[in-house]
Amino acid sequence: MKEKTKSCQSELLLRMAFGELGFWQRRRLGRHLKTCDSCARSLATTSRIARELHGKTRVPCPETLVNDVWHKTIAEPQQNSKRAESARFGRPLALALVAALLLVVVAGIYRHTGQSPSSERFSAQEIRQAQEDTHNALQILSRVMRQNRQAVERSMLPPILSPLEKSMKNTIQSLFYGG
Amino acid sequence: MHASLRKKRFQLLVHRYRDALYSYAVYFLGNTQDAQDVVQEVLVRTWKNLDAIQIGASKTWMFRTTRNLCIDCERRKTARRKYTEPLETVLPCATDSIDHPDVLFDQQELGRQIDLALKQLPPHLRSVIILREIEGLSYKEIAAQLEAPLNTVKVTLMRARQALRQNMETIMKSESTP
Repeated sequence: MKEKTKSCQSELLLRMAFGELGFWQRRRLGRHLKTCDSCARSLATTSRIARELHGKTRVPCPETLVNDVWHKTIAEPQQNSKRAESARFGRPLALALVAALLLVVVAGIYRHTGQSPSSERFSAQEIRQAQEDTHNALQILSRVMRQNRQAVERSMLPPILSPLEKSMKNTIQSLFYGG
Repeated sequence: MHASLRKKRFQLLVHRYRDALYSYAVYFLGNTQDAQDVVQEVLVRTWKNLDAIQIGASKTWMFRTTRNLCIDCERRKTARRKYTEPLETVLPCATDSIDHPDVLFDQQELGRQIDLALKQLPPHLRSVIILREIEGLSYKEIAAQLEAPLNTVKVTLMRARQALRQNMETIMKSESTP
């Protein structure tokens, strides 16, 4: 060990204290330590530091932090996607709903008053036009509902829209085709 | 990646590494408040970049991000740098078996001095010593995290140990003289 420089010895002592020396190196250093007080003292101090460092335990992460992270990551995108979905599908569905309601109200008024669009009040061309318009409206409504079926199924709309669509179809059928 | 798979992977990563990351940040920064901010940011960034993080490299990525954010945090706070919260207050007492008050005091003193010496190390040396001696990472893992060759890690760790011992000696000397 005498041929080693001071820095080499210091490095060996550090490695020994942190448990990274091999068997033969430990034996050689051990022989040196028996005769060298300063190295023995240095090793004792370094070993205490190493033991204290190795004895340091992991600090557990607080549960509140993890909860905050859930809110900022997993929960937020779900809310965003719901918002995006409603923005995408909400408008056409609301329009379809309003159109359907209007048709039902108009048809209901005709039914209640006992008046139906007949040739006495409307010309044949006007009735044909109304029939075409109603067909188109129904087609648009059903297309919107078909395209947005996923959104409709997930939303609260089917329980409202399905009977509404049915009653609207029936009313129009009875009004214009005498069903 | 499918949404549910992505969610599961993220939950797994958080469950597996949250304590290690938090512990690393606490020892690096020396106080729990900053450590919480840093770890929260790391986890949020992990969620955002989950698709870009390779399956086998998650641990390295998360530790590297934590280290970078810790260094950023420390830079921001250099003007009002203070060792605000002693680590003993947040660490569970590991000296239950020692009954004698003097021994207990010595142990606590040594722990406090080491925390102080650790805090005085430059960030790159502190990072290596925490990863190796407290978190127990292998040289290979540290090298991957620092994106440095294995030998560089070994040399850096040796320097960190030497610097820590020097800091300890200085602290002990300054505290022993009235």
